[in-house]
Amino acid sequence: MIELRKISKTYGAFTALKDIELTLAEAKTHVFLGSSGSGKTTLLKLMSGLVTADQGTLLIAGQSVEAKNEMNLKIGYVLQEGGLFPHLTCLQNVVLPAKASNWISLRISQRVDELRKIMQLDEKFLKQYPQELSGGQRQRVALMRALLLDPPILLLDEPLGALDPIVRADLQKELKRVFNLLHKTVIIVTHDINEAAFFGHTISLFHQGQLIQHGDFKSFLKKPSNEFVTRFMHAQIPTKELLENL
Amino acid sequence: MKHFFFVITILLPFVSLNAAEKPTIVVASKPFTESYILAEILAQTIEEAGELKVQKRMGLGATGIVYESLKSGEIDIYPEYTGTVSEAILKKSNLKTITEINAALSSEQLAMTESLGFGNNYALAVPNQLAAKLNLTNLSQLKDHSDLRAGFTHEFMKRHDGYEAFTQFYDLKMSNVNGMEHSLAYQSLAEKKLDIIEVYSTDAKIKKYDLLVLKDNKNFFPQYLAIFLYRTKIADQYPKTWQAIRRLESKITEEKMIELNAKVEVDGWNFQTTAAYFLNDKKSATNSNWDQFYKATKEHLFLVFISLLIAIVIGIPLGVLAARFYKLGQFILVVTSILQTIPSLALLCFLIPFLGVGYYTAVVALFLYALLPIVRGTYLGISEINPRLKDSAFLIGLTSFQRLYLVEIPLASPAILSGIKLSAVTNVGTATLAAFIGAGGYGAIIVTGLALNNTNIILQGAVPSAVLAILIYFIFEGLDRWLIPKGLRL
Repeated sequence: MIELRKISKTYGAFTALKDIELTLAEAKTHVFLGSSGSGKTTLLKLMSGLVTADQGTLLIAGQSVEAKNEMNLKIGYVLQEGGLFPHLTCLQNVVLPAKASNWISLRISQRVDELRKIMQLDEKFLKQYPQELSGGQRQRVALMRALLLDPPILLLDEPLGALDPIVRADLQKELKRVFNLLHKTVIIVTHDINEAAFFGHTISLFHQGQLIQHGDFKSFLKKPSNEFVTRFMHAQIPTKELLENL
Repeated sequence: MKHFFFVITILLPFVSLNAAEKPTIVVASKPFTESYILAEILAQTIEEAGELKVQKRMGLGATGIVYESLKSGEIDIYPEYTGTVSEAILKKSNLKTITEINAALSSEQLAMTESLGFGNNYALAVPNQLAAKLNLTNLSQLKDHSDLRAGFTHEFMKRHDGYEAFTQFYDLKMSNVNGMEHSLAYQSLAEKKLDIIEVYSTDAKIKKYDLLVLKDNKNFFPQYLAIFLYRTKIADQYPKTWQAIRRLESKITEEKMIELNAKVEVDGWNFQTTAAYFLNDKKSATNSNWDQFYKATKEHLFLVFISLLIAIVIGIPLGVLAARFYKLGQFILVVTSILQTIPSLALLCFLIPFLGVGYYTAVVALFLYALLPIVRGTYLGISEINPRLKDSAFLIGLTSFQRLYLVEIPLASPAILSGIKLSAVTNVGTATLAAFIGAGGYGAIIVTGLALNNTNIILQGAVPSAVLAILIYFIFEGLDRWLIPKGLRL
């Protein structure tokens, strides 16, 4: 369980986050939704230790997260466009977290094989450099790297943002399958309502640094908490197919 | 990364320098023919005495540099002139005799030998033909020929024992005086564009251009007797060597010196051969041009690579610090930039009071020059890494040091290497100036060429230096392929 208590963060005069109260259940997929500048990415960075809060506490499994050095064991992070290092091959990228944690090579290669099967990624791609792969393959590699140390929590910042629609739809399904398989607590940041509806057991809608509404997708449609929520939802009407699936 | 350390490990052994068995005496010269010849005669004389190992620092920049080096003990002995010691060094023109000057030098533990047998005085000369036509033999007679076209050096025009004082002393006027370079004055005289020029009385060109030196009949020009200026400890500690040096006193006549100067400047002999010819010693006259070239190449490479190596070892960490800490970074960049703006010769002169002359000073100066491109390359390379990749390295759980050597340095390696390449190529050029403080290299050949006004010799130093710069550029281009990770070259 991840608990956010009265979290605030400002950058100079700009309020990025204000009094965020949020509880996120274990082994579920949660979506942070909002337009750019709404605070959703800042909150994700805060949970990863990239940014520290001005006020409030963040509890992971009941423990306050202060020591950043242990954070990587608890959290895997996938950035938009992957954040893979161009000077390393995909395999070198994937095993880097294990090098940092002093794993022995047998353990590393076993884990890589395991993840490669889960991600259904051909071995030849791992020998190539990230720039040589397609966007979708790159994100699979990035996810492998994030999962290498088997962290209980997975944070994904607009993971599909840079992909074309067909690859994006394929990878959405793929990711959902992996999340269900692995039973991780997943948080995905996106501005796409369809994606939020597709992934999210819960959805948190942010606007100007505040949490506007939190709940499942149906509650957003049936009981929008204010006018902004209605407007946001109607800006991107969900497809029929999606509604039937709910 | 591991390639990088490999390269450094390979270069390290070159840093060590050999130690000498016999005690060493450092013989120096100034950058003109006569000084080179006298220093070479001195060096061969000392070697012959067998007591000391001679180290040569030939062609040192200017009087100030040589004198400071002598005071600080960087060099032990060099040829000088009494007039220069009293006028330019002690700045006491009232000191005339060697005894008077030695009394003034004693507080610095320095002294001069007796005259070597000739004076290299300022003098005025006219072509023999013209002298015969005008019936000119001495300076007083110039009074009747105020329209002669004169070419004097800028130094002579300005010195307080120069042109002004001279015309007053002889009570004459010259209506057509031009300030110009010394070598140019000879040229113009030969082309009959000048009638009278200032010369040094032992100048080989007096013979070459068939000139008559006008007699200083009222004794205006100060005596510039050739002597050796030395640290008194030589005389105290090495009596055998000292006796050998003393035996050179009064042995070189003015005619002999003109002949020796002409051997070099007109006949193209090298200094060693000329000195050996004077000493009637055939065995040391074997220093071929190839030996000289090989020695200069070795010295030049050492200067360039050792200074570069130190600049790499210090510059990269400075660049990393600059990229990590904003304020410290600005400070580091400003200081290294200021170092870069100091003219090379000035920087060399600044360093002499602290480090003396010679090899180490040149290495330090070259190191300071090499610093900025490397620091700047590293700084830019690291600060321009995509912030997302920096975040990524942090999120993976890498420690600060792991982020540096696994991610930041490899990603910045193209910029770092281009900084190193720039430093290396510039250093090859700047290293030629190191000759002015006796650090050798191709610059020593160039300085000799300049002293002799011999374009051939200048090119013998300048061309290899340019070729070396180009070679180094291509070697580093090759290193790029080896040191920059393959992924960054896709």
